[in-house]
Amino acid sequence: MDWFDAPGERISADAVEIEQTREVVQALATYPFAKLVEVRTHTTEIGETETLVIDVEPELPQATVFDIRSPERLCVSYTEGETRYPIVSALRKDFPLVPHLFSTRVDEPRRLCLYEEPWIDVSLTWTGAGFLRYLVEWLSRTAIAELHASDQTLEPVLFESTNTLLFSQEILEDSASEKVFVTELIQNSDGIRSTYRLRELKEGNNSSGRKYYGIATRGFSVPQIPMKHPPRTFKELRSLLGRFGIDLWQVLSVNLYRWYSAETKPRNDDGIIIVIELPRVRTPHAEIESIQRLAFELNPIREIGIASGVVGSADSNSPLRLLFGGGAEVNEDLATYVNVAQVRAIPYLDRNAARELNGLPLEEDVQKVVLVGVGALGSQIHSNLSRMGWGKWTLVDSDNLDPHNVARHRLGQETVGISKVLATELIARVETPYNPVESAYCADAQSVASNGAGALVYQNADLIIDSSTSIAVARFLAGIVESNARRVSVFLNPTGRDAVMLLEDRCRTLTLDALEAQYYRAVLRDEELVDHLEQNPGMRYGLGCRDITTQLAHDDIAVASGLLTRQLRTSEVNAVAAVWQSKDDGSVRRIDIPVYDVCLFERGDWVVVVDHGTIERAEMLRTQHLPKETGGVLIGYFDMPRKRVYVVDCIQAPPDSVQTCESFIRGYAGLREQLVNIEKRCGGQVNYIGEWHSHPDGVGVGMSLDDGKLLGEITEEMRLEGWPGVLMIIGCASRVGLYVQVS
Amino acid sequence: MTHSIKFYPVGNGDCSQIILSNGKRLLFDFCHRRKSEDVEDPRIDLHRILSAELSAAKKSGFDVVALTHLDDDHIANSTEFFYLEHAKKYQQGDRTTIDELWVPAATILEKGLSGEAAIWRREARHRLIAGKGIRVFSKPSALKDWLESNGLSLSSREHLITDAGQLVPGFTLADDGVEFFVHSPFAKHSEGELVLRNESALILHATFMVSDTKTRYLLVGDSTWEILEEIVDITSVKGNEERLYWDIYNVPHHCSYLALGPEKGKTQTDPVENVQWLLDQCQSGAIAVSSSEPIPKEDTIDPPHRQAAATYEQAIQKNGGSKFVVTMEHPNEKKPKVLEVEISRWGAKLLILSSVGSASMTKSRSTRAGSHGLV
Repeated sequence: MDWFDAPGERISADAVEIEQTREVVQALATYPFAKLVEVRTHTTEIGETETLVIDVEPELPQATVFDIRSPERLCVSYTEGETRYPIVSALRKDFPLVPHLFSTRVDEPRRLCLYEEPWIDVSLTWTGAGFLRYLVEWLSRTAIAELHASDQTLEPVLFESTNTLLFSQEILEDSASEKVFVTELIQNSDGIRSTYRLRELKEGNNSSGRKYYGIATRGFSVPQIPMKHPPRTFKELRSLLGRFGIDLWQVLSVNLYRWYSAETKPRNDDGIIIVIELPRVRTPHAEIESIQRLAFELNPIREIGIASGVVGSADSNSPLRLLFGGGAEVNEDLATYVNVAQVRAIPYLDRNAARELNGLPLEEDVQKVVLVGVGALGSQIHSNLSRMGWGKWTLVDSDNLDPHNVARHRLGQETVGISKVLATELIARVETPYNPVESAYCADAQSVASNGAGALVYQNADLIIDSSTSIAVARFLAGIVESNARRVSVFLNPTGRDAVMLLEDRCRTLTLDALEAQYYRAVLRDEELVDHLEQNPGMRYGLGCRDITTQLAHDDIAVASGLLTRQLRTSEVNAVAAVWQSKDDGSVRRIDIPVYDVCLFERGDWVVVVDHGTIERAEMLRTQHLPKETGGVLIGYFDMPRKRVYVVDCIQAPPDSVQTCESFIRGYAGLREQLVNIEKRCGGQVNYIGEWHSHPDGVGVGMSLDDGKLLGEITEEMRLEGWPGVLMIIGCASRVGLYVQVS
Repeated sequence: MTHSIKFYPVGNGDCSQIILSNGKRLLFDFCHRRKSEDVEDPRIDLHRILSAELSAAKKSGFDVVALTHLDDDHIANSTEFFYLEHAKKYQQGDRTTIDELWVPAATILEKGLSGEAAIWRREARHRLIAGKGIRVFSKPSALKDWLESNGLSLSSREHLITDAGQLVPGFTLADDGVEFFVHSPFAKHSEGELVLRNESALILHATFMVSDTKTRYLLVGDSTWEILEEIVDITSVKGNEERLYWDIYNVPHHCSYLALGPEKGKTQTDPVENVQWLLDQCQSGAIAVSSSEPIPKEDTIDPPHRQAAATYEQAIQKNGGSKFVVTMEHPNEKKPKVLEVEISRWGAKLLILSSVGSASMTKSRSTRAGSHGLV
């Protein structure tokens, strides 16, 4: 058997001093499947190194994938004070090229890559005997190619290099175009690793330093093969690429011609970076599992150009010129002087990768989203979702970023004074170029709708997110904007602790405005929400009347934006109305708001919006009082521009009401206090809007004379508020009569 | 899909088990020594480990128990372990059932038996008369006579009898991933007044098939070189040489030189020509297992013989085999463990990772602890 020599002088096994070595020597005394051959020692730059040569007996079946033998002679070296793994090498000269080896020279023993975890973790449980056992296991599993777990990604084709190239996928897609990509170099602080960033060469960014011209190409699919050492010469590179079906000369010639034809020609000491994409398969003919990218830097470009025969010069001092008429023949000998180095190739994130990293399904039909209101909450929701590759975004907001916004906005100081949407567009282009802002409107929601292009944005949208914190905008978006897009309102309660989402169902049978009314009813009925709309005193940031903002913590907005983001991206077809209450102790409770189908009653110019949540309660009260009639007041609100009445709920008869089998007279004991309370609880949004009463069975829900008189009285009173009079009659079998009268 | 073969460290004795991937279990011989029940004894407490393995597999017994012959080291204390059909006495307590008992015809016919051998003869006879739960190997005329003397015709029991040169019914490559070819006994060894027990012992050749990989296991029992010589001759004449290829070789008679040749030799035993040929059927990476005490350094009268071990080791090395292993040396002499060979699409593999360390702790009893002996 032909073996490499282990380094250093032979010493006796008793003379070992390093703790790990001693442990292994002790373990060898009893471990049945490894034998100590010899111990050596030598001094390195770091310190004393002790080396154990051991024969390890793996568990081998009769047939193996890799030629691992029993025993296999290994050399294990520890260096004093070293905090890294012991170096383990296979001394057999023909030890096979197997997965999980470190890069070594041909004249060195192959070095085993033993652990995936960092030494600092491994050392916690490391023992000499365990180590020996692990060597047996490593060899045993390597023999049948099981060391590389089937769920582990395929091993790279080449060992990695320390330099990194960051590039955009665009270079692969646009390889036929006229765009020229060059790199800028970022030297890492350690002075060893370098990072190149490939970007398009545009007028004006042609820096004076050395640049690399980028090319990208794809190779054949490559099955799992042992890793190779990176090519160091042009010839090795050409032969390696040839194995992947890439004709290096041809790729270079086409591009060299392009570059030298351009107005700004490459400088002699410029270089070339070639990016290769290799589809990887586990076994031949298997499905493509991943794409591996390799990149190589070649320089100087002058030598490559001349060797390729694309360019030439009369002598070494003259500038290069294109050789027309097919140029000269390729002269590979000239390429001997070309420097070749492997570079780690990492593409910039694209939308799909971002989605995958976030666990989103790969790009199906990404929704077109209009976000109205890019304030603290809106900007963070946009940031969250667009970063994940979710949605294609149009932003609408008329405000500029004020200094006080920075405390809670995703934008920072550098964009203060600029329109929020334009600043966000700018930042998104830099931060997440895979999901830029498609269009930005520095205007309010209403005026965007009246602008031709803006109106189209609403019409073409799949989803309109209202985070304007304006009830008017929400109602406007719900009804006036012409669009089939699903609408959603997101906002915080006044204290900022509760996040609210009102999301229409996909068919829009429950529109945003109807959900708003049901939300108020939930606030009234659900004791958990008793303080939900309690006002938060404002805080002035300027002298103007409207220069007021609220005291909200940025973390509350971050929590809310996270919760709402998740709900937005996971919502299905049904409507969602929910409140997430976050507590001081960090817990969050979700309160689902019951949603009911809505009935619309058109009465003249007016539409009454009432849902089954209210009707069911009125029916219940009616049934309780049969055969007598009952009734009470209706609460809700009016939307004057749209001439709509929203009924939020019906209140039961005050105790002093007179209820007979054919009449109902509403009393008023405690009613005032009750309505004040309702108004307060709903943040001033909900108030008295009219009356309701029941009719007994067999009477119908038509207005009696008395009813007509009552409506007239209501109307007279409401006129003083500028509102119409509303009367609701509940009959048997869920029949509802709704009457609106304008004086 | 993997099968496995377990060899139990029972000292100079035999007990091995084939566990098929479909869950079927075939036990070959049984040797439980009382002293092994003491945790200080290096031999395994066979009774205990087999019960534990069966209960872990949720089985109450073996699909097959083969008794290659009735020597004590192949049946020791077995009648206390198994549930025997022929008498209530052997049905008391927690006993292990046998779906099918495999015995050579000699077991039925041998005379002048006593002790456990006689009990097994009664059991085999009982099952043969009952016409179920038994397979008898070879068909000497004496068997026909015995059947007739019990009022049975040979033809009525023909389906329970398998001759040398045949495959054992009930196991196929298609259904079980294994088939068994019978090499011995031949009928002639069980003729006449004197039945030569070793000569009429059971010798089988198992062929396992996993994916497209064939793995062959030769179960030689307590054979002698004369028998092996004869088997090689007959098998060659019939053109069945493949039935003598081996990836796993159960070294006969606890590594006795007599399974190789007539002379023990000084450093190694010279095998007779046919046995040498048989050893050379060792396939690449094959394993030879000696079910015996550790190989002594000195010359000994009783097996194992170091000279024989040297011959096996040489044959393994010469033919690119993997290892000659001894049950009482694996993984060490101090505390031998069950020696397990895994049979997969990669062929046979001696399992060592699970034989040492914590993985092995849960497979055996701990040594004694407690205050015993303290005042």
